[in-house]
Amino acid sequence: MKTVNTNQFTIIIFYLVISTKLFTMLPNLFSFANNDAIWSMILFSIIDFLLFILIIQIIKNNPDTTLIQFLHKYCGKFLGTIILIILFTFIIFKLLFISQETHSFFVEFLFEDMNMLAYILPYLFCIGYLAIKGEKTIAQTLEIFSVIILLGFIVSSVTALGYVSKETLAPFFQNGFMPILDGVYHSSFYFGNSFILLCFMGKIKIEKKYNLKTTLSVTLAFLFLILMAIVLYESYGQTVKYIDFAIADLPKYNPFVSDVGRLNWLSVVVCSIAIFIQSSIFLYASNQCCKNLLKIKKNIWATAINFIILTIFALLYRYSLPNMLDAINGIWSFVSIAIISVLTLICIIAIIIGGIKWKKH
Amino acid sequence: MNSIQKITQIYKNKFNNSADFVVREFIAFQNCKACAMFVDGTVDKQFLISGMMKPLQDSKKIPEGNIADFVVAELIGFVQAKKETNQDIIINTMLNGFCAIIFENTDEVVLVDSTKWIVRTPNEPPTSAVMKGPREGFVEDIMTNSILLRKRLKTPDFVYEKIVLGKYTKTQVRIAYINSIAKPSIIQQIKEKLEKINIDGIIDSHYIAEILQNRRHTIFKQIGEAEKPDIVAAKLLEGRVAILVDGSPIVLTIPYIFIEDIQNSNDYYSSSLRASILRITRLIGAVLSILLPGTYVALLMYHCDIIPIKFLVSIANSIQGIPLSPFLEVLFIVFLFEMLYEASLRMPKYLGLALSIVGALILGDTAVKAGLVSPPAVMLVALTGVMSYTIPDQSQQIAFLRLIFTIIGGTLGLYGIVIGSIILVAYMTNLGSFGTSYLTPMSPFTYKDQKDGMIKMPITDMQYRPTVIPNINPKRQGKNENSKH
Repeated sequence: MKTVNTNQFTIIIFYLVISTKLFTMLPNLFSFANNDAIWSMILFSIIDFLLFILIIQIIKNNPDTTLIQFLHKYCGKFLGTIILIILFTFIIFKLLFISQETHSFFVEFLFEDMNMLAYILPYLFCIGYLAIKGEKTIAQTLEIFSVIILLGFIVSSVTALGYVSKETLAPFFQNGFMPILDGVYHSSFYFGNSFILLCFMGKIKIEKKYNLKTTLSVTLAFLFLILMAIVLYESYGQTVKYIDFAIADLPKYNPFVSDVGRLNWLSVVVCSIAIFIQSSIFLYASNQCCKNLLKIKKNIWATAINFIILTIFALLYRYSLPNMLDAINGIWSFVSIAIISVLTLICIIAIIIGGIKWKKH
Repeated sequence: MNSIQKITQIYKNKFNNSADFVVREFIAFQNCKACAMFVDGTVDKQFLISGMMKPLQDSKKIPEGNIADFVVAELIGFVQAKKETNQDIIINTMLNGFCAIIFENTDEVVLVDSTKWIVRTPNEPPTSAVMKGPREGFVEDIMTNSILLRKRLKTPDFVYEKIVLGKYTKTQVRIAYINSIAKPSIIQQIKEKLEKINIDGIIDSHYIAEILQNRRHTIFKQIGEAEKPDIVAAKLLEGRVAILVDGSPIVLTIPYIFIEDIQNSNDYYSSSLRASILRITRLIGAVLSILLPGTYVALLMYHCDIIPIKFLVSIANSIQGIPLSPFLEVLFIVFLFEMLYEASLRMPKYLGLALSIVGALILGDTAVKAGLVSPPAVMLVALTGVMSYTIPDQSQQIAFLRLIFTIIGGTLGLYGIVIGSIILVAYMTNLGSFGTSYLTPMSPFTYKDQKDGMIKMPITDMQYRPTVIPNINPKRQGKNENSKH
């Protein structure tokens, strides 16, 4: 049943583009590429932009096809299942990463010493509730909050654009192109969110101006990210690489906002809402994979399985195998690029086959 | 024992010799024994004597054929009268204010409408007072309420459908709709749901509202309620269906959406700009009323650094020496506020006034002076208490949520407030009434319906009915040449 309309899907796309990249990606990019991080950002934005457009087209071309039907159609049953497992793992790792990032965010801004249990139970309850209720609830909740979130981001960062001097990022390409590529490589984990959209397949109402709305949404989201990166560098300079959640504290250094009053808490609240809904989208996506893989019908069981997997990984990370997981973290950039490449290949094949069929008709 | 006495005894037994079941024997057509039976208090005795019994007693024309036919056709033809033989129907009709007349040697009973219930005059309802606009309100009598609606909708398209519900109460329920506007599938769904109701009694329309709503356990109501005919008439014109229940001054409207609580009948009788500002103010008032105490507690207990320093110093001075933590302090005042509210509602009016003065001035002031609570906390709870009445229909829900958010803020800080807000919105998105989403037209966002959503455009701009309310006739008005943009 199609429960998400094109407008809601457009909003989901916007937040999916910016979601994982909001906090730690920008400082991470700057630590590899310094002031050329903006070029890394632009380069990666172009690649990710194309991936998003690819997935958006696939959803449009296969309006009544679910994810599993799509994979079986283009990859066969066995290979389709393998790819679904890869996608599932990719999403679960991203969710684990986001969960940790969320915890660090709250420790940084709201609580000096946050009890893990006091953090994790409400967090899981919140994202679990949204994921169990399904894509309609997520889409509508995001729709309601979208104005507040957007307003918060605009107040906290975009208003500072007027104070950015032209010399901030200059000189360009001081160390050649390698740091730019290095930044792209080491930030690969933050990309590939477009594949989450595949889990919404068969649930989207393809309405008028679908292409225009979705493309505009992706474009604006990437522009917004690039602008935020510029403002961030302007505000923090070389120290930006040491401040993971710089974006949430940005209003402190925004002359526009500080003239009005202390509004950084608004940014904190807005960022919190954004990351909770983002987590629920990821959990929903992993639920879909889990349901298809294990032939589960109810969202609640899929969520329970995902929570068990997440808990096991979290415990392993925290207590038992930090070294091994550190090693995994080390190779994650490579793994991430490999997964993104495989999924991209399948999507390209789907588009080509779809195009051939259309021509035959 | 003659035949009339035998029959009346049967009915007396059926009524278990109830004291209000009256049997009055008399002679009709000069020599024919007759008997009138009715339930005392439900009939117009003046009419019974002068309009019914007297013509029968005075009639010199002796009927040649069937007496019942003659009486119905010729003697009391100007009021609703019918003949009936089924005992159950006769009893039910008598319970609804009809008088039953039995004639000697006849099986048929003549039922004459002589209804006269005690009816309150339509006054302005206390919960829907308006500055400008109609002041008539519904009363407890379904006939009066039906007339009040019919007065505003003078079209044969406006239809009432009758259903009787309740094993013992036999409550008359009327489904009202405009059949050239309302969607037949919605009417059908409502009828089916009502027909399935199996209950001993319907005392008020809330019984039906609870049965009709999709979710049994819900914070927010899913069926609309209105106490004024102008509001119901306007809703019927948008394609909604109304349910009138005998004995209740509250008329239910279906489908129901959240924005209806933000809207007020005053909005349509004042300028659009003012109405729009007021609507936004109402929503902000309700949101602040829910979140403010919890946020205050969270900020003081966990995130003092967020509060600007001057403000913090001022609050710190106020809460100095208070034995309770901010959480317990606010919780205590919230409970106190709710208790005072409940007590003042149920107390006699003259005592209620005294109680509100005692509560507001003496209790609050003394508590602050005694150092039990701080002035900011008292002010905050009082302020949010008043704010909750910006949406009077949701004040109970707001009070409940305020308490929940205070507890969340006190235990989990801003982290909990954010989570609570997300879950609350997600919960609201899941609600719906007869296929209409509760938060529409805000989510799913419907551009066309924003003309009468959070903002209100002039009536001349509302050329179409709201799309979120299912209807079969979307066009509301033609272009009004007189109005200029």
